[in-house]
Amino acid sequence: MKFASSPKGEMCLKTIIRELRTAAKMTQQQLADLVHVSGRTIISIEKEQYNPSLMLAYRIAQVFGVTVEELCCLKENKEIEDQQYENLP
Amino acid sequence: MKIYHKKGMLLGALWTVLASWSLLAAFRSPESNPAVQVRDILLSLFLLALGVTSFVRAFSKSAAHADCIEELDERNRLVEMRSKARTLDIAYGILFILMLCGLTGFQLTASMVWFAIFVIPGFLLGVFLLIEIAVKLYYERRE
Repeated sequence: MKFASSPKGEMCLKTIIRELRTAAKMTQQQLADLVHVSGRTIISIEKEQYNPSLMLAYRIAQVFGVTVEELCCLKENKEIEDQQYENLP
Repeated sequence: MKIYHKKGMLLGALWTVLASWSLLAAFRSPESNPAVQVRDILLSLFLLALGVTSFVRAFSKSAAHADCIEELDERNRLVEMRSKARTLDIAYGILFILMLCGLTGFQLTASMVWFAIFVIPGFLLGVFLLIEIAVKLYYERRE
């Protein structure tokens, strides 16, 4: 299913990773090393170009001591997605 | 000396051997066209550098770890899958256009060259479609 609002036609999750990372004074590469992914993956997630897998989201959430729901702003993202579903023909 | 990344070492060794062989061949039997000779040597040197780097990295713990992370990275895997899927889409498009050109050319000129341009892409398109159906059925059952 494609969503018209996204440039690539796909819904990318808004996350608070950048905010949490900068608050923890951590670089993208340091976070990447902690969760065993490449630095580019963290950059893409922060730019809302890539959706992390459930396990990666959980790993990142554990690093910052928050829940996956908080990390990925699931409530907010669900509301946005619901609106897009309502606009479907 | 411990090997930390066997796959990288094997691939590196393979590329090094192939590039060395190609480099030797370029010097032993040089091309008459100097531009082709330079291209061959540059390509061989590039492959040699790639092979040697991959081979050496397999013996370094930190480099091998970084290579493994890159290999297992979920985004890299997605990018690779998407690139392959898009490549196939483009190949479908090119084959379809070639098939149409061949058909039109054959209708207009009745030349066998145009017939071949129509038949070969048409055959490949058919094979690709059959493979795609088989692969889709496989993943529909297992995913």
